[in-house]
Amino acid sequence: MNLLDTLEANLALPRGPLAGIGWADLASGRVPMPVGWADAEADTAWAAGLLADYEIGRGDHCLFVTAGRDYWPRQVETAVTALGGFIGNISPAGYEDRRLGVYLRFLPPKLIVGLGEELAEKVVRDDELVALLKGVPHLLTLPAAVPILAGRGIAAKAVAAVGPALALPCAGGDGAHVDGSQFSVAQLPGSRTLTVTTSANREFQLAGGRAATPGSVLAGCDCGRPGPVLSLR
Amino acid sequence: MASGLDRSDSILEPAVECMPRQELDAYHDEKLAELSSLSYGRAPLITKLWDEAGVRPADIRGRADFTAKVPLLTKDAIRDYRSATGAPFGGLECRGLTALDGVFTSSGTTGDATFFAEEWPRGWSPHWIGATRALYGAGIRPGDYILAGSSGMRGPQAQLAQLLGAVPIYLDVFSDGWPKVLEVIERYRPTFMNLVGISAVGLAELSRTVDIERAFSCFKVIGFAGEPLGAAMRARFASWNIELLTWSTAGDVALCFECPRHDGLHMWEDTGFFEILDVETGEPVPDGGVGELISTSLCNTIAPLVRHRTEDLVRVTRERCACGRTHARQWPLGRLGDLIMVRGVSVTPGQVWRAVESVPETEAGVFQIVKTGSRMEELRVRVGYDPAADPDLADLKRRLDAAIWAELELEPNLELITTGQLLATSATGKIKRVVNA
Repeated sequence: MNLLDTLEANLALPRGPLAGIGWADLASGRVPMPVGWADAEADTAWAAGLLADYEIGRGDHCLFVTAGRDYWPRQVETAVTALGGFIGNISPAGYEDRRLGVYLRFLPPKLIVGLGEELAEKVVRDDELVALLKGVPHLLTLPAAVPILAGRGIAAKAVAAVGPALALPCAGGDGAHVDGSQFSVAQLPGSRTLTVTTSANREFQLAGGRAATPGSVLAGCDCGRPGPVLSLR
Repeated sequence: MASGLDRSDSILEPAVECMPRQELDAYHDEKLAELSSLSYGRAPLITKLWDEAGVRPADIRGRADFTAKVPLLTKDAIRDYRSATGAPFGGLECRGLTALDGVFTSSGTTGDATFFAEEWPRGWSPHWIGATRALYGAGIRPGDYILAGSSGMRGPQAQLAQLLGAVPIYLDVFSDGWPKVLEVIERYRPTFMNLVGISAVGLAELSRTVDIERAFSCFKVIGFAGEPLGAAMRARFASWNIELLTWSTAGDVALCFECPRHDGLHMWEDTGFFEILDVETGEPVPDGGVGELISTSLCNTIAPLVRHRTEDLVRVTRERCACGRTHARQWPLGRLGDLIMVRGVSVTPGQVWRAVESVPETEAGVFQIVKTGSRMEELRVRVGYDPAADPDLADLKRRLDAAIWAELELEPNLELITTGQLLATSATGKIKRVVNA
C-alpha cells in the first residue's frame, strides 16, 4: 500500500537481459554499446573506489550535468549513492545556468560532474556563478570546458568517455583513470588518437577501436592505481 | 500498436490500484495523522504555519480535521523561507541531508526552481517506481526495449525500464534529433518512448518524408507530457495509429498517467492526498468540478509537501474508472497564472489553442499569449505557422482572427512567425504558453 509494495511487484518481474544500451563514440561514429548487469556492477564498483578518494560520503551532494544520452554519468551517479552521497541533475544546455545557480546557492555540491562547453560559456559570463563555482571542492568537467573555466580562475579536471570506457580523474593526480580490469587503452604513435580494447567478459566487444575523444596515455599516476591513465587535454 | 493488446492482466497491483474508496479513505485518515506528527516540530516552515493557525498534531485525526484545520502551503512561502534561511527545502525538511539519495527540481517556470527530496528504497527512485504502474498497464513487459534517458532532471529515468524488466536505450529526442531516433527505432523496435510538445511538432514535420505509421508500428504506446495536447495534434497521432499515454505530475508529489481507457490521469492516492479547491472561494469543489489542485505527500519522510497549493487548475473525479482502478483521475487544464483577463473576458491558453489549431497552417498549436499585465486591453498572440504551406499571411491572419473571435469574442492582435522561429525561443523543449511582453 505504498511504493515499497510496488517495488516488490517490480522486482518480482523477470529482470531485463541488459542493464541498458548506451553508445560508444568512436572516430568512425557513434555505435550502440550494450551494457550487461555484470558490466554495470563492475563499472559502479570501480567508480566508487575512485570517488572514495574524494571522500564522498553520507550527506554529500554530487551534482551531475547530463543529457541522458550517455551511460557513464549513470555509472558515476550509482557510485555516489553507493558511497552514501546524494545526487542532483541538470541538463548541459546553456539555459540551465539558473537551475545551476539554485543548486549552488542552496545545496552546495562537493563534486560537480559533466559540466560541458555550452553551460561553461554561460557560467563564465556571470560573476555570481563564477564565485559560487570557485567554492565547489571538486569540479570534473568535459575536456572542452576546462580551459573556459580556467579563464575565470576556476580549476577543473577533465572527465570523458573514451569510446566505451570512462576516464575519471582521481582526487590527487592530474590524469584520468580507466578501469584496467575492463579496458585497455593505447595511443597511436605520433597522434592523440586513443584506441580501446574491451575485456573479454563485457557485453560490448571492441578490439583496438579508435575513440572519438582525443588524448594521450600517461606513464602512470602518483596514486598508484593500476590501469591506463590518460591526459584528455 | 497497443489496440490489439490483451490487457486482461494489465494491472500491476490490483489490490492497491483497485482498492475500494472506503479503504482508501481509511488509509488517508491514518497517514494524514502520521504525517502531522512527522512534520510538526521537525519541518520549521510547517511548524511556523501551524503555530500561526493554532493547530497541533493531536488535532488531526483524519481527513476532516486535516482539510478543515491545516493551513495551505504556497510555493512563495517555500521560496521565501529558503531565501531567508538558506534551508534547501524551504523549511519542509523533517530529516537531515544524510537521508537523501537524490534531489531534483521543479521546472522553475514560475520562479526559482524548488527542490524535491528523495530517498531511494534499495537504490530505486520512488519517482520512477510510481510510473511503472502506468507503463505496466499500457502493456510494457520484460524484454521490451524502451527509449529513455540514462538520467536527467528528475533522476534516473532508465530505472523506469529496468524496474519493468525492459531494456533502456539511452536516447534523448530533444538532443539526439529525429534522424538518429528513427535509426534506433528501426534497429531495436522499442515499445515505449516519451515525447514533449516540441518533439511532437518535429514529428509532424517529419511525416512529410517518413511513413510515421510504419516507423512507429512497434510502439505499444507513446508517452506525452509537459503540457496539454491539442485536439488536432491528438487526431494526427491517431491518424498514424499511435496510441498516446499522456502524463503529468500529481501536484509535485508523484506522477499521474492515463490508463488504457484514456479517461483522465490516475493520481496514485497511496502516494499522495489530493484536494480540489475553488479558485475564488477556497471551498472544496464537488466531484467532477474544476479547481486548484492541493497536494500532500504520503510517501516522503524527508521533506513532505503538506497541503501544497500547486497552482494547477484541474478537473478531478474520484469515480471508479472503467479500467477498474479507483484512484482519483485528473484532467489538467492549465496553470492558475496563465488565466488572464482581456477587456473583462477571462482567457485561458486552452481557448486560444482550440482556435489556433483549427486553422490548417497553424494546426501544430504553436503559439504564445503575450502578457502585458493581469488585466489587458487587447489579446496579443504570437502564432507559429507552417512555412511549407506557403500561406498568404494576410489571409491567414484573417482566418486566425475569425477563429479566435469565434472562441472568445475578442479581436486579437496577432504576430505571425514561422513555427521554427517560435520553437527556437524555447530552449527547454516546453512551449511557454504565456510570456511577458
